[in-house]
Amino acid sequence: MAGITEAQLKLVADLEMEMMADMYNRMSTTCQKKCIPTRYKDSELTKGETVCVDRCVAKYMDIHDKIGKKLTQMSQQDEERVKQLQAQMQN
Amino acid sequence: MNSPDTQNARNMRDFLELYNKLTEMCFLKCVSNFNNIKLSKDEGSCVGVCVDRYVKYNQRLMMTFMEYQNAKQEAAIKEMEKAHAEGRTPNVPGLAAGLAASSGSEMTVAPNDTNSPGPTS
Repeated sequence: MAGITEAQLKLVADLEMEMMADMYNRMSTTCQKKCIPTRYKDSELTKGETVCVDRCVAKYMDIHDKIGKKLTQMSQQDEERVKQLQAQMQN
Repeated sequence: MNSPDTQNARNMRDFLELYNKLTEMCFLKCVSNFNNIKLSKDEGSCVGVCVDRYVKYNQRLMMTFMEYQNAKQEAAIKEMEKAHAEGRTPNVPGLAAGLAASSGSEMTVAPNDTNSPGPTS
């Protein structure tokens, strides 16, 4: 995309912030489902629960990165295919 | 400023929302063991399969939806021409919604295109 204006940059930054917040919320609900039991007596988290939360976050972020790379790769492949098709149509 | 920019912004937003949804869905499906802090090979390949499947499902859904929409629009146009020729009001359910959808259409993928719903540049 040639000539990105400041307004567009701001849009992208805002969108990224919003999406990061969305990811955080999803991660929060997901790790709560996986690690925090619904029945409890104490207000303190057990050691098992804290360890689980650490690992849950690590795995979630790892998967987030992997999927990001995969989606970018798929998008690039599709863009190349479109370019090839367009080049063929012009010839 | 309006059409291509807002269209791009909408595409970008859809793509990023898909990304987040995918992460949540595939994590829920593939990860149940927290004995290790690293992802196991099984979990990694499960995520890969999960992503492929969902993207293909999404593409097919969009294609079928677009075909359906096109057929519906053509039928509506025919009905309108017919009604106009016969001098009566057209019998097209959801006409206003259809017109609004076709003028501000969010579909950037043609039925025969193999593009995945990614950001267009």
